[in-house]
Amino acid sequence: MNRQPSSAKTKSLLPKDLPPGPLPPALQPPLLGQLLLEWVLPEALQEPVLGDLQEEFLEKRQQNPAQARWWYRKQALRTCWHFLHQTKGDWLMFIFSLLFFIGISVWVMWLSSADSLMMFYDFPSLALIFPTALLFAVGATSRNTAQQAVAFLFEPKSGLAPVYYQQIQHFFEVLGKSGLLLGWFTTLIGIVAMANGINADNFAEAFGPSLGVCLLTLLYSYGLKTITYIAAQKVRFVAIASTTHSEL
Amino acid sequence: MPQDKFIGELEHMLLLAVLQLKDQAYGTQIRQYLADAVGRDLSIGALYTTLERLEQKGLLTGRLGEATAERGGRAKKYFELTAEGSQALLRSKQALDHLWQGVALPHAWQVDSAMMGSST
Repeated sequence: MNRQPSSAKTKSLLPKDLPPGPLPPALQPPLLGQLLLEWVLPEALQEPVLGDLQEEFLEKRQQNPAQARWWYRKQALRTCWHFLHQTKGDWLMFIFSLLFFIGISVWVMWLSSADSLMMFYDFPSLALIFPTALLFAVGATSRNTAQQAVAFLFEPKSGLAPVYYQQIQHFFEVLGKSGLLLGWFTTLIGIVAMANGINADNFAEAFGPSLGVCLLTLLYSYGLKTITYIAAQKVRFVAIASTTHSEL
Repeated sequence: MPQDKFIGELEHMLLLAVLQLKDQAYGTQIRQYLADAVGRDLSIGALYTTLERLEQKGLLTGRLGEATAERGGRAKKYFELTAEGSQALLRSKQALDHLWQGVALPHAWQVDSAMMGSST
């Protein structure tokens, strides 16, 4: 077993005449691993950890490039596991709550009709609600705000100007409310169509399926409203926490 | 004796590695030293989590050093033992030495041969 510090050994294994600054792409470690680490690591540790990994990656790359890439990916995943809870715990809880909501909704749908889960799927109803509500929200705010809102869902940043949070919160509120209004509006269209299309002869066989499809838009719109409500509340919470922190 | 100044096994090893490496005590070197000296292959995440904890306890101090080409222009973070760190290490060693006094391990020959096997 070698019991000596290995700085001399490390230096001799590194490629000679490296240019100063960022390394050329051929000597860079796997990009996905780097991005994952930059996303998960606390800001203060990004420089030393990424530098350490890159130094050791170059050393291992001299012996076996494929093995070095594999080693880097493994280190990136193990390191993320250590810091994920610390830096992204709140975000994970937010995503978990959304996934739980979606999961429990699908489970209830399955319980109510195990034979045909597809009866809850109707593409025209989906197309009526989601893209239109998104267009309304972008129209009522701005494309930049929409991009910031999506970015916030992936990485809720704290400590920014209050107006940043107000705009994002406004975007989610418009998205949810316009989705809900669209749901009622399209349900009314369906009811008018049913009223005109159903008569005494076909009432028994047509009423149920028609009403079901008609109510699907309302179901989707309430689903969208629920999710955007939670997102808006998350924005509000981060904004309040940022204000409190800056006052302290 | 304050409870929070007792250190765990990994903390003990890291403090010793920092002492052994002197002015070369930064992430990669500490990780490789532990792997070479005692066969403990830590992930860089586990290493920095523990180093951060030791810094927060006041047993280590960290400072950013020079950026080098093989690190893609990123700085190293060097670690150094504080006076409290030295005290904690010494206290831990004394406690272990005290506990080891007069201990005769049952089946010691089995443990010895297992350790010999793992080191070859």
